[in-house]
Amino acid sequence: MKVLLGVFIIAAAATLQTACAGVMARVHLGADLVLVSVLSLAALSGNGTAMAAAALAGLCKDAFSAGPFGASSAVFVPLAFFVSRLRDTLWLAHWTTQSAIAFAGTFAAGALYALYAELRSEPAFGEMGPLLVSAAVNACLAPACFRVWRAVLR
Amino acid sequence: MSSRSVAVLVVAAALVCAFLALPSRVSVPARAWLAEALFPLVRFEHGILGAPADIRNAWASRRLLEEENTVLRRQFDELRGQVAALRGLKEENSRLHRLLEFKESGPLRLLPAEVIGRDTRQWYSSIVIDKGTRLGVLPDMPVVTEDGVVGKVIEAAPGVSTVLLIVDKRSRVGGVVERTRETGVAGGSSFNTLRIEYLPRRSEAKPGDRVVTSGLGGVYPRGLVLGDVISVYDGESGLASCADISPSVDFSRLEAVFVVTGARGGEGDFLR
Repeated sequence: MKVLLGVFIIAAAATLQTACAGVMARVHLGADLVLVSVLSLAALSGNGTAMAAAALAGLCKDAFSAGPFGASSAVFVPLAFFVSRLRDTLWLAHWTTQSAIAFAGTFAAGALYALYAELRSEPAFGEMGPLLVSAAVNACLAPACFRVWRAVLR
Repeated sequence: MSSRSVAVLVVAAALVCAFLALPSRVSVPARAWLAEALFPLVRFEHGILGAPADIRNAWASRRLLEEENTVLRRQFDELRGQVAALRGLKEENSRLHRLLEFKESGPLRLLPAEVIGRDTRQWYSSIVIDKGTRLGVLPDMPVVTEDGVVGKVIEAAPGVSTVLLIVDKRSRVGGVVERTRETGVAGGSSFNTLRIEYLPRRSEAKPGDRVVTSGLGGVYPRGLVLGDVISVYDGESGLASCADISPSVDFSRLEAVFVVTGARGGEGDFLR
């Protein structure tokens, strides 16, 4: 049941991001709900769950993307692995930690996307300004995501 | 890092690499399948996100409709008022037209007058008109409308005159049943009804027969309509018949009348 609910939440995050894309573009807010969901789930669960969820989330995100199918999974899986490894050393109960994970995770994801683009000889992803805005917005969304996942995993 | 973690990472990395290495003939249908599977959720969320805009648009439309409705309602009320006014004008025009025709076509010299009051002490039995001695109105002058006899002037001041209606019990008019030529004396009997007395015994008058002035008595000219016979019966003495008459004039709606000031042939000719 928890797995189904988790899959639904990830799918809902991916589709909500697609549905919100128009509004986000109008207000110049590049929130990444899928990334925040993956990071928060990874911070609250073990390696296996985190990476499986990251792979699924990446595929869901790519389903509505023009990029290569699986590219987001390639970015999310190492991030999920890394965050899940840190969960015992972080004080995750506080919202600042949650926001910090999302903020740092956004930059890390940006770096991985850029690396991946470099490897495929594709144009680099975005610029620093929008990435900073996206990181800030994701940091704001993180506490809510943590609360949702905590409720699901309880 | 435990060996289990390393194993999980390796498996995940292998899976991701496998995904990335998929040929397009596989990855494209896979992506399409996943997008198709997720599409209902996107549509649902899009609907939810679009709802506020729809509500806002609906609200704006409703406000516009309400404003338009208010304007149209106001215009409707104005037009309804105009229609009522036009209808009144049309009726007045028609009435004045009839009055003009009546005034111009008959042998009598008529002075138009407006009813400006009624005697409230006696129910509809006298009226006040806006013409008086200044314009030649004198006591005993008949007052008529295009429908028939109204009464006669009983008092005349310079600007106004009082007219005794023929339905007043004090009123007496010489009348004749048009079809049978039987003569009698008509006067008020009860509310808005006339009675003609002194008709011949076994009168041949029937309900519906028209009664007109006979010209006898020296006040009313001959041939003016008094009304229609309602019923005929024997008088109290048994020597003559009586008939109840429905007046041709609706006294409750009198607005304009004519004072008969003479005949076209000469002053007061009609009386003789």
